[in-house]
Parts: sequence; structure tokens; C-alpha cells
Amino acid sequence: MRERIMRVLQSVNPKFDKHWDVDFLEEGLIDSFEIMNIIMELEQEFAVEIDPELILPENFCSLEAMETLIGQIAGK
Amino acid sequence: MIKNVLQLLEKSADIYPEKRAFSDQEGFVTYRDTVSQAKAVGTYLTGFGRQNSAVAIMLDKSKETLVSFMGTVYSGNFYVPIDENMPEDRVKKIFGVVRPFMIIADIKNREKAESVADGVPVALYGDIAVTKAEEEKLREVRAKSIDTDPVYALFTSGSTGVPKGVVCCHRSVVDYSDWLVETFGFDSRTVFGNQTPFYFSMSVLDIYATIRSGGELHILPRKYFTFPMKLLVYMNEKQINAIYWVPTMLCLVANMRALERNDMPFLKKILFAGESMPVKQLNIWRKYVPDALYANLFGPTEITDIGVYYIVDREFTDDESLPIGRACDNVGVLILNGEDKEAAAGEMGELCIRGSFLALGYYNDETKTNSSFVQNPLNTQYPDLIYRTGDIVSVNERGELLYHGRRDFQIKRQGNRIELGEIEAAAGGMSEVEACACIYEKQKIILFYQGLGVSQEDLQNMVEKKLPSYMFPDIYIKLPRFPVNANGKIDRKGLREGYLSGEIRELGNV
Repeated sequence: MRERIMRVLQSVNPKFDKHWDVDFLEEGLIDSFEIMNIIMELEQEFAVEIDPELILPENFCSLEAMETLIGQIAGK
Repeated sequence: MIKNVLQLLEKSADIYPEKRAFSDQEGFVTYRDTVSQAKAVGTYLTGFGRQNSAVAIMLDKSKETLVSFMGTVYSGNFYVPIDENMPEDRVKKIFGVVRPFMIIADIKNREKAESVADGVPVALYGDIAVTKAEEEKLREVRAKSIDTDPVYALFTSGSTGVPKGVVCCHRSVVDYSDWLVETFGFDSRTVFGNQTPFYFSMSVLDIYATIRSGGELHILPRKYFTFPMKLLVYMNEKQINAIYWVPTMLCLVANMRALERNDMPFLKKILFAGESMPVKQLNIWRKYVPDALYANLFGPTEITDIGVYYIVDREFTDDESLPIGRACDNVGVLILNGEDKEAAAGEMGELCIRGSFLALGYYNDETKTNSSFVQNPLNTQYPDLIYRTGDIVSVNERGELLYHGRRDFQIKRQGNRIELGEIEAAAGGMSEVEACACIYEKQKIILFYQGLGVSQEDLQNMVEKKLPSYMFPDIYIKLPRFPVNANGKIDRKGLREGYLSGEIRELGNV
């Protein structure tokens, strides 16, 4: 699943590096428009709907966080 | 007689000394304290014996930035906001035009300020805000100031690569603040949730409507715009009841469905400008915040902020466009067709603005000033200045103005004004680039370039070092040869058509 998430991130921002081991948001690696595009692409890729209440920094700050989020929703 | 914007501040401070004037995530400053800290900064600056000269403000966006603005005006000079995210190269160009005699910075921006200063002294806000105010000195300065003196210079994109500094005087700003309060009813209960940067003319509304009415301006933290859910919760905490944002931000909130989950009981005035507001997202806002007043405002920095406006008074279907409305009170609107005659009803023409909202001109650029601020061609009897906006408009059957597009290469992206020529100048600055041209299609900036030895990576690095991030091209296309028209000039139409048809493709990407 991580690979699929990586591909989505790279399609939104080609500079995205899977070796980034930091908080994407703290470091300003993702901005507001990219988040919107990432969410749309993730929803499409995994055929889920991400509830607005889950659109919080802690769920998007790293690959791991996004993986957990998708896992939670898709698992339902 | 109101001849200085500080009188707006002082009047509010007299009536509401303990009310919050400006606030941000760190805290707030009352009207009384704003005046006293601004007087301290002003006193410090008077020590340099300058009048009507530029003071660059290089602070992170904060209430202290706003106090610095006021402090500069107390000293009889004008402020030039320099955003924390502006690349050094651009700051240097701005300094070359406006030649500040002082830079006020905060600790975070001090190093950057010092590296662009080139001999100009850098003062730390924290140090100068505790200067002992000298009322006599400040009174002397005020006595000399007249309403046509400059308050600020806001720099906008310049098509030749050098940003243009639009200078506005007290009279325009005071006049504009009067119109705002009369039209939208801002008062001492108003709490603005400011989104726009202070180098943007839209922030003039937030700042001066606030101090004129005794309201509060709260600077919304930028990071919250990434997570609209948090933003709306934050706005409710701060009881924000008025906003004036670029449509891109309103769309972000609407698209992320944050309005579905958050009631906005305080929000009563939702104004927007800077780009076309998509009706689909407007309708989402109207659905969830039905009791607010919605208004579409329109105008370039060169007329202080706004010249034409439309308060949404009826339903629009998702596929319709919003009108830009009618002239503000005390603003003259002229639509000139290709022959410089007044356009007939329904005929398209260039929107020209007359009146006190007009800026003084472009700082230190007589040529550009004289080509944009011109004599009204319909008036041969006495000096009657108009500003030619470059926006193409027409009037509909209801008497409302509709926007049709630009007559030049200026674009708006996410509300930011961009001269494609500025991007071309940045790219063209690389010696191996033989030719380049920039177009804007489907919300993407495409930079075409020609030059044997040029690699996209090198070009991109160089361009991104020179320009603010909102101007970065999205797509780079290297061409062996540019299509030219009969005059030997780059055939931009051909480039555009080739790109859209797929004939001209991205080479070697991703």
C-alpha cells in the first residue's frame, strides 16, 4: 500500500521522495493545494471517501500516517 | 478634516482604547498600545530626518508588522511590505527601485535583511518599539503631512522583470475606508479573519476598514489553510465575523467539505476579490452559511484596491458567472473600446477608473506611470486622469459589469497577479537560453525555452531562485526552434495551439 500512496504523492508533486523521514507538514513539504489534490487522488486510488473530520495534520504528516488512515477507512 | 490615515487609528483609540486592534496567534495589541508603540517606532525613524521616503518592513506576518506600518507613517514616511517568503533576488530589485533609508526587521528575518541591505541600516522591531515617544517631534511631522503624501508602496509583478511599486496616498486610503464602512457596515464589533498577505492590495481593506471602524484584525495562521476543518474551528474560537479572501481559499474550504461539519454562527460578511469566484463553490458556501452577506469585489492595486463591486443579491446556477457589479460610490468607471471611445451598451471595452482611489503612480518609473495613468481621452478640457486597467468588460442588461479577460499577458493564479513577462525575464536571464515564452493554460504556467545546452533542472533551479513560489512554471518544454509569426516575433498563438493540440509535447519528463 505504501508504494501506491507514494505514487499518488509523486503524481501531485514529482519531487516527492520516499526517503523523507520527517513531518511533511512541519517542514512545509506539502502545502494546502497539494493536500487537496493528494486527498482527491487517494480517494480515487483506494476507492474510499475521506471524511472531512479526518482531514487533520496528524493523518497526513508522513507516509505511515497516511497508510494508517487509509487502512482505517478501507477496513470498514 | 481627515488628511492622514493615522487620524483613523487615533480616533478609534480615543473611543476604544482597550479594544483589540490587531491580533495573531501569539496575542493581541490594543488600540492604545498600537498608538503608543507606533509612536515609539515613528520617533525612532524621525531621527533620520527623512520625509516621504521608503521604509522596508521585513517581519514575519504579525501584529508587529502592522504596528511597524503605522510607525512608519508616524515618521512622515511610507512603508514597503516585504514578505518573509520573497526571494532575495526580488527584494534586491525592489530596493533598487524604492531605495529605503531603513529596514525594520524581526529576529527571524534579520539575516536576510542584512544580506539584501547593501548599506541600508537594519533595525530590530523589538529594539525600536521601546523608544521614548517624542510628541513634539511627531506633531511637527504631522503638521507637514498632507493628504496627497504617500502611505505605502506595494510591489506587483513587472512584465520586464522588475517589480512595479504602486504608491498610494492618504486621501485614497481614507476615501476607500469611508466607502467600505458605508457599503458593508463594518463597525467596532467587526473581527476580520485576515488571509491576504500584507504586500497584497486586498490587505488594505482589512487594515483600514478595521482601524476606521474600531474593529479587530486577526491574522489567520497560514498553516490552518492546509486543513480547513481546523481553520473553521479556529475562526469560530476567535469569533471571526468578516473575511475578505481570494476565491482560491474559499474554494479550498468548500472542496474539502469542511463547511458540512462546521457551523459558522459568527461569520456574517464574506467578501472576495483577486480572481473569478467559481459559482459552484460559492453556492456551497451559500448553502452552509446562508445568512452572510457575499460580495464580489474587483479592482487592481493601482486604484488602492477596488473600483467595482457586486453584492450577491440573487441565485446563480453553478455554470453561471458572477458579475463584477457597479462602480463604488465616488469612483468613475469608463469603458473604452478599441477607438478610445465610450463602449456602447453590451459592447466590450477596457475598464478605466477615474477618481480619488487612483494611486499616485509607480515609484521611480515615470515611463510606466505615464503609460498607465493617462488623460481621459473623452476629456480635452482639463486634466482628468484615468487608470487603464487592461481588463476587458461589458455591461449587461441589468447594468452590471461583466469581466471578459485581459488584453495583455497578465494572469491571476490563486489570486496572485503575475506578468508572464516577469517569468520570461527570469528564464531569459540564463545566458544559454536563446529564447523563451510563457503561456497560461488550464491553470498551469507553461514555460517554453530554446537553447542547446540548457537542462531543465538548471533552468528550473535558476528560475525558482529568482521568483516567488506562486510564479513557478508548472511545465517546462524545451523546443528546438520557436514558431515565429510574420514579424519574426515568437508566435504565441501558435505555441498555445500547438500545446493544446498535443503537437508540442513535454520532452523527457517524469
